[in-house]
Amino acid sequence: MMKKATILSLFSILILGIYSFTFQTKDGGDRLIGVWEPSNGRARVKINKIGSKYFGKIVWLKEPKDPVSGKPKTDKNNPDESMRNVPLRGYRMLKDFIYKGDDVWEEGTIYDPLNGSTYNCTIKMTNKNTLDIRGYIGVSALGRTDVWKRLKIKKKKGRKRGRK
Amino acid sequence: MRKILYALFLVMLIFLSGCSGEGAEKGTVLLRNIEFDFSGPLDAGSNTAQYEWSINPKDHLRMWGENSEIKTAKLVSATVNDADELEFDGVNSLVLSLSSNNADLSMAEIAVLNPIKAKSNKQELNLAQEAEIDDYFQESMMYILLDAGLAEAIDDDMKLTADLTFEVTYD
Repeated sequence: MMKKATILSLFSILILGIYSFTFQTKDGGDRLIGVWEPSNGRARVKINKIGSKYFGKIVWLKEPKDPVSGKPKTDKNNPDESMRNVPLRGYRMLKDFIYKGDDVWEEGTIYDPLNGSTYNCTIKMTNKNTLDIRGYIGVSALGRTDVWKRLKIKKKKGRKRGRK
Repeated sequence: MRKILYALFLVMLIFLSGCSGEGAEKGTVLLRNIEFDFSGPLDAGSNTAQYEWSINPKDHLRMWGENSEIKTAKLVSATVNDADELEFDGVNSLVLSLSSNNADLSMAEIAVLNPIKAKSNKQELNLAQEAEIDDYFQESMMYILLDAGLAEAIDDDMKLTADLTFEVTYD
């Protein structure tokens, strides 16, 4: 009876192991894909995958227009002067993240459009709807963590092209 | 008729021409009619389509010499065309970028046009002056990304094409 129970337990562990391995392999880091909101609520960032890396672009801004010009905001602090009219809505502020396993994405950067600075960054998913985004210079210990929340966005119905 | 014309131009044409000079040699890499298919429905704001460029520039350098290696690369012209011939209806900006699966290579924005010039099926993009793309030309594959900014959501697919010219030096 005892032997039967032990075999059953071992079998269950094996099945569980295979299941979780399959889940990890199949899932990779794609659970990061979606729309996320930083803690300040001023923007929404859509994370997507290009090749094997993850990128996040700004899809919504609380204040989309430049208060001075009244036109849609652009990346006016870009260190490359020739790229300062790239629209901020659509700008990839998260770049080049690689999934490292255990709900961690590393080797990427985060861009702060307010000052035109780019920082090293790691992303840790603490639960399926929450990210810890840690930006740092040099070593990770010297940085700042922001908590981002997942949003569910409904697609809006659009018009047909060429028939305005 | 349009479809037939397209079929003729679907194939990406890569043309390399070399010229001798002092030190490194110069060459031109032309990418013609590379296609960017945007699958609708498209969101208001930025929508991305990608083109996977899996041709190794090194292979083409063999035309110039067996052991040639690309040293530097620079985008010198970027034109985007509205393949649907709708004069970029609904599109208000275009951004062109390069990306790679190589962890050591960061995404690079290489050209932008904002706003779109009205009433034309062809738009010439402004080139990034400080984009560093030399290392992309050491790769066997790269992604060319086109972000189209839309003023409002569109329920259709959209097809844009691009002609890109890179100047390279090699030795």
